[in-house]
Amino acid sequence: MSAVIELDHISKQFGQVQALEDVSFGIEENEVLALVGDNGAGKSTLIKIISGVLQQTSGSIYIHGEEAEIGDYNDAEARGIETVYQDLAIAPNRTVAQNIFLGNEILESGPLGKLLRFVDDEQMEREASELLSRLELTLDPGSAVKNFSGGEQQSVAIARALQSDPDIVILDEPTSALSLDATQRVLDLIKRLNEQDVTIIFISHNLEAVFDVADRAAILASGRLVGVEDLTDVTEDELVGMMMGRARQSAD
Amino acid sequence: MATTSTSDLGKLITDRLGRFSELALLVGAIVLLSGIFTATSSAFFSIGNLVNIIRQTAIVIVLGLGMTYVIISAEIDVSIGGVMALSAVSAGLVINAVGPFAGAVVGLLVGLCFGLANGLVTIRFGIPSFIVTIGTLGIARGAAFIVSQQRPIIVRNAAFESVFGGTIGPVPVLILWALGLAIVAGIALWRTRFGRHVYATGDSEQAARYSGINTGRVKIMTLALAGLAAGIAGLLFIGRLGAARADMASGIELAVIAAVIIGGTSLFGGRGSIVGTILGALLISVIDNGLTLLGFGSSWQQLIRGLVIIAAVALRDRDEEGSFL
Repeated sequence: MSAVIELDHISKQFGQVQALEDVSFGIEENEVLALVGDNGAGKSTLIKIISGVLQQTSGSIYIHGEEAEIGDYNDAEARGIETVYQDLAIAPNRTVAQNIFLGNEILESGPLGKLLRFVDDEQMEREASELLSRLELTLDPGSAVKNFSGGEQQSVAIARALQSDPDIVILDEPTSALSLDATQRVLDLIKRLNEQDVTIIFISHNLEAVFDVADRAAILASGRLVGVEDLTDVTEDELVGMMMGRARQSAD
Repeated sequence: MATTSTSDLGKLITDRLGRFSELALLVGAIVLLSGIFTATSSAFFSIGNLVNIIRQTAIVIVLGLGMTYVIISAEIDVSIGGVMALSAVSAGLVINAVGPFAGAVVGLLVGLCFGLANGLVTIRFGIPSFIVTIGTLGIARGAAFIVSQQRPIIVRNAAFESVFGGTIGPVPVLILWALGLAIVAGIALWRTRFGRHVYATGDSEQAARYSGINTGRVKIMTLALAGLAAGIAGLLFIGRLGAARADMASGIELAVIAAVIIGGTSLFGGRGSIVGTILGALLISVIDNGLTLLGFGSSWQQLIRGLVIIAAVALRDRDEEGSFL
């Protein structure tokens, strides 16, 4: 395995507050890496830096070995990074297909050729249908997203992230607002994605979910990296201890 | 994974039919009211009166096109009456001094510049568009009085009238303008990428932004379009009446916003249509016209218009999760 993303001494300061301090680790190709830590540990800041929403104060990001400046959402997308945000960033009155292709609509030739092009709803619904069935989701691509449950809406948000065929998908607390049943469905979806060679960074408070889907966990506490652990080598209690800022006993 | 349950299926059906039933209900209301007015006033159902209703509606429709874009993008523009008046008096003065083409260009530019200014101030300074456009309403209306020196600008220009006034056969040119512009605005809203971004921006600005849509630019453009529509409406007003006055169309912004809202556009953004706006404007005109014929003055018209707006929104939004019916 090789590192898809390598974080090299990343620090971020907001005024007097040191949100991240000297964080370095790599995300391996085709793994599910959980990013865990207590509130205020720096998880959200770190993924916002990787997805171009924020810029680091110092340090570098390497993508496939090449130093990358990720200035905004479009830079991240061009580098093959897509993010599904915690707060369900979907447009509820738009259809599933329209959400999946939001900002990336498929166009057909209008009456004036390339001068005036119309959105091709049929093609978008067809492609959305294919994408949904690849993910084993049975959602009507022509129906408004508000008609679906929280878990289904989260699935639409994840499907949208996959529309551009990214290498890396960052999922920020994808199950925090979901029922147990819906959580399990989203976790199953994450596993299926991973089987389809998508590298996933998974941020969650839910350690059960972390142990269910992730291969490794990067643990942050107070803006510092406490460790990166293989989840087959660590217990939930040890992980909680590390989240509290304690280095792992056996590693000492 | 997720399967569609029976109740979900019901929701899907009402969702897909909901928009059409909303429009059907508006058509039904227009037909019903027309029936009542026909039964109670012999003057209502005559060609002359029906053309008059449509003519009265045309300027509200033109202004409503821009307003539909603005409200779908979750902004509002209350300056259009003042901007329309300033566009009209500026155009009138230039038509008289220079010529009809220059006058029309000036009228459109005044509207467009005010719209752009509304958008830029709203987005760049983060001031709610409601506040910004209350300000520009005053500025434009005041400027219209200053520019016109508080006198009506009489415009007598055959070339200008042939384009913006008069009739083609029995059909007033004004109506053709409103219809043509509505078709263009409707197709652009429904079928172009920009139109989709307008809906997405109003539906969830965050989702639109996370998808790489420049939502600030979308909102600036919708407000610019509303200004441009006010400029066009100003020219059509001169074409219809042969004059421009600084106090013209006072309070028209409320009638326009009412037409857009009654037509199914959500004040919270993300939902609405041009067809709905046209029907909303027609419904208001039918009510105003019928009440006038029955001897009820403008006070009653305002009162009933107010009730209709509240009833329409209450009916539609009582269950945000479901549909209108």
